[in-house]
Amino acid sequence: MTEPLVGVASDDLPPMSPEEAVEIVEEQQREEQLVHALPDEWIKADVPEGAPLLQVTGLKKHFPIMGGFLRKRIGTVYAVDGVDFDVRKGEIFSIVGESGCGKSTLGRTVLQLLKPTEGKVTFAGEDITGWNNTRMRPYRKRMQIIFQDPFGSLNPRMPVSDIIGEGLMAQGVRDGKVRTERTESALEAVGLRRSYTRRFPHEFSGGQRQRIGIARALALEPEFIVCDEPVSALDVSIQSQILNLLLDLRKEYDLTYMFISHNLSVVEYFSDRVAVMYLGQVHELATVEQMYHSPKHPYTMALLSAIPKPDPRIRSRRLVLKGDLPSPAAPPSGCRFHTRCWLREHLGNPEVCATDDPGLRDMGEGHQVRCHFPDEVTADAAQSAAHSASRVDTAVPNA
Amino acid sequence: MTEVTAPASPRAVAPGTPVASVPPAPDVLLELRGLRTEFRTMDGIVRAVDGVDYAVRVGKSLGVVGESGSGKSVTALTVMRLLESNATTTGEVWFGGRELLGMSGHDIEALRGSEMAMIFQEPLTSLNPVFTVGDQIAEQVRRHKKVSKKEAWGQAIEAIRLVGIPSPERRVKQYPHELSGGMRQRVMIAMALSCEPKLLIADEPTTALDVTIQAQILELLKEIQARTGSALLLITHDLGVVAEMVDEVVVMYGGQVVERGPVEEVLIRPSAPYTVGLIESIPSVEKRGGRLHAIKGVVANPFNLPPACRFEPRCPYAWELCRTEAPPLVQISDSQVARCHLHTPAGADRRPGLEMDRARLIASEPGPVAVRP
Amino acid sequence: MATRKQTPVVAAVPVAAGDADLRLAEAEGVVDYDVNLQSLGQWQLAWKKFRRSRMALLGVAMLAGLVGMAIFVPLFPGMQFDFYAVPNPDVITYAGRPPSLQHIFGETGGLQRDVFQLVANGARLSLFVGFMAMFIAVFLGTIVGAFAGYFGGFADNVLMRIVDVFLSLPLLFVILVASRFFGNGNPLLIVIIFGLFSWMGVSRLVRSLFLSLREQDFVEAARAVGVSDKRIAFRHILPNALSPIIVVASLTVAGIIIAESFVSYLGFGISTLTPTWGNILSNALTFIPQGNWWWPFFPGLFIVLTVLSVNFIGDGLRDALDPRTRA
Repeated sequence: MTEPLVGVASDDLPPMSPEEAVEIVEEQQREEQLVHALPDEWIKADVPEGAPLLQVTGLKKHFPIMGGFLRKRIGTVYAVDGVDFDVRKGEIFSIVGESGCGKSTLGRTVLQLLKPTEGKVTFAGEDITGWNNTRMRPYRKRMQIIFQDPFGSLNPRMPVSDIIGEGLMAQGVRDGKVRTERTESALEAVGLRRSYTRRFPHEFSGGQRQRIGIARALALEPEFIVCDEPVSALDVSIQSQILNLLLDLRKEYDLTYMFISHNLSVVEYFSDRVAVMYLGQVHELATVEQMYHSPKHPYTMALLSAIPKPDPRIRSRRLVLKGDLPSPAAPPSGCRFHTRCWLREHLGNPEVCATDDPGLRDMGEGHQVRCHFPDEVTADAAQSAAHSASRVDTAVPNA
Repeated sequence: MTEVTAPASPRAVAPGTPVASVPPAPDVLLELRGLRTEFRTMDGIVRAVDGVDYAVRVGKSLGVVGESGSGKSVTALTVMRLLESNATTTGEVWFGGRELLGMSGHDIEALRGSEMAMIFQEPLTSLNPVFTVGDQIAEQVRRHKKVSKKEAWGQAIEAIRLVGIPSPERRVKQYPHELSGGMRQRVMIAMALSCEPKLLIADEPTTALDVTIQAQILELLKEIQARTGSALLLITHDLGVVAEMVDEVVVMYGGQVVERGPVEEVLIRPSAPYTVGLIESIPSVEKRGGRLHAIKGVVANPFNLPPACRFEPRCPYAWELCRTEAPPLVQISDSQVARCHLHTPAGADRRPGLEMDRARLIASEPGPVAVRP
Repeated sequence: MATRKQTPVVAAVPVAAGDADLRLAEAEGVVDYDVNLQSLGQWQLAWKKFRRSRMALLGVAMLAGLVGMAIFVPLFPGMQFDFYAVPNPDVITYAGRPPSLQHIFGETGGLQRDVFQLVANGARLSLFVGFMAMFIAVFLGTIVGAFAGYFGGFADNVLMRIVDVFLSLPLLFVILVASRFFGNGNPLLIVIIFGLFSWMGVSRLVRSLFLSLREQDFVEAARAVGVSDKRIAFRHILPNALSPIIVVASLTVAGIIIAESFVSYLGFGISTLTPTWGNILSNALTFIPQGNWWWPFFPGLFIVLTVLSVNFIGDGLRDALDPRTRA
């Protein structure tokens, strides 16, 4: 494909000596080999810093509940039920929520590991909604995932070299030497020794396994990584190692993260923008500063209040939510949070919360809230709600 | 149902041998002295707990903090004599003036459930799925009190009401799988409290729960402790939970106690390098933009312990002495002890390193938090 | 100039030296106190664990002995079974002779054959039937189960209903009838029939294994890097499913040997042209009123020994292949 440079010189430049020409040709050939080690469709995204890399509109993922003798559909789990957001290039965008909110499902649906029921997912300008495995393959190296469970996410019967190399092979890196080099560099980048390629997962600790999982994602040179609770299963002293690693890697490799977690302290430290999810919907979307200084949703406030702080001097009265999390198969009507909302009770149980879904409202500067009364969410209101609630009788049945 | 027959006394010394030690003062409800627990495994003998001492006073609460492999849960199971037969325990456990490890299986069963009760991390697997929750609580009651079936059932309903579950008459007839995680944990607490124990041992009671449910359960535990006056032994890895719930805290690493003291002292002015490292590495919004302090290395594995100081490979202040001699537990103040060479005369000239980091921790006292109630 | 697409990134950008050190130190400042020089794969680990179990090794020894007996004893002179070679064609007595030095398991009644010769030859066929039928059953069961488990949905439904149909047949009765009418005493056909009726349990097991393994994170991770479905099934799921399959296979052998003995004992199995332990028993029991305890005893004993050895091996394999037990 390449024409040798010898004899072809621009009019402005002096003619090249044969040695120089040979050098250039050899260099070209070397680059040729290496470039052809990568599949042809590979392009790095042309998205400038700060522009949306991933756009999600109206995304829904429903799971049917089958039952009965004839395996009929008897219900639906509304795991993700209408989610809109953008992830901008270079940022760390977090999704935070408790169990049943759909955050893990969201992570997988965005990557098309699960097929969306409705809605649209756009990556670097390309609509990838509903693409099957084959179509997604070239995009897989651009969008990767790190899993929560360091023990289950590595095949116990494969050595590390295969675990990481398999992805490279699937992406068309045929040359074994190139694969080995990239595998070893990836391991080094995450702080493990190159010689670990020969080892098996069971020989590593949880934190090290998580690093291997990160290396697996990194070896493909992605631009975007979904981190599905990457530190939740790790010991506290190891969590900070991994968080530091993720931050370093972001800087070095120009990565964008979608960070999923249930731990608000970690999210507050780590992310740039946060989306709070509850029962399949985003209830607040803001930068960390906005959320920390002025949360506008009663659920966010309750979450912030619920975190036990490691400072024994802070003995404040806590805002405790009543009842249990409703099942995602039977979400409450209207605003899904209304059954547990302290603000609603504080305001005398307005009807609108039970009948109308508030929809995401813009509060300015990109701060969005799903609430009918976001301006009522103040520190004072929270204080009085915390004081008036009985401490013990907080288990109100929902079913 | 949830009963486990106790094996014969696991002590290395034959039972019936007169115990030479003196029982503790009457206000000390539970005291562990030199507790060591070993497990026989295919790979040899593993010492999961290696010389642990701590005490819980009547009506007070103690938190045991540690990561995986620290031995915190094994210690609690040893107290309750719930370990498998491949475990050997030495040392003493004093409860209410009686030594537990030398007790016969029969005596310990009388104690368990009535004077000391335990709640576990995973409520789903700790409750028997084939019996209703009412049955399980009533069984507990009947075992320790001589009441009729009807009365026991009534007490079960009352216990469920006391832990804040509404419509207890309805709930009492439900099976564990019909309840949510938070409810099940409440049922476990109800079961534990049904016989008004003097000591409640909670092994990671909220780790498996969502944060808003965790808040409910922690508030409930506080309320119950205030109301019944029982002592609480809380085992967790979460420093936040400990800060909120207990008076005194014990930090464990690699099967040993590395620090012990009142919770204000230990969490705000920690003395052991491990504790300092743990507290510094907690992410918070104030640390944004910078690198988190991380304790390097991997958590000590009981199968593969360093020869001298167990924390040495990860310790930023370690030097040769730490590799050759195991550090003793040093009294730092009246109420605080820490296990580190830095607090002995041998480490005096290296202390400033630790002091600087401690000072930094103390100085970073959080101001009044803006919004939270 | 060569037209190139944008910045070719060849290998991961080498990390600045200082950072790598810090990161390495963070990841592990640990010395390996317990030096583990060998990096053992799963199968090597399993072998190590298997070797540790005395019961399993005993089972292997026993089975080796039985197989050895089956292969080598009939090669000796006088130990070959010949239906038509009767020691004393003119004498037909009811009572055989008890074990003696020349005939260590004694002699049969009727035609006065050497029982040891019978048992040794019977071993050949009984073991052959056991293992061959097991291979057929496991092969069929794995394919059906893998299909049903991996693809789910309609295929799963159809296949499982077929399994249900097979399972609802009164198995023993069907085997008896099939063996009699289609088998005609022919060992090969009997093997096939046994295989055809033993695969259902395996298929259910394999199906549930595939169903659960399919949801594992590492399978999802493989999909996330672009690995094809086919490769996932073979490279990820099947190797992890092999251990329970092997265990079930070994236990199936025991079941088939017993079934064969039973069927042959009833006279519906392999014809007495070639001995199996089952049909030796069958012949023996008609002569029981005359004594001859040694005649049915030794075949029966060997059935028990085979089943025991296979069960020991199966148990040992199950523990060895369980990733939770440490080597």
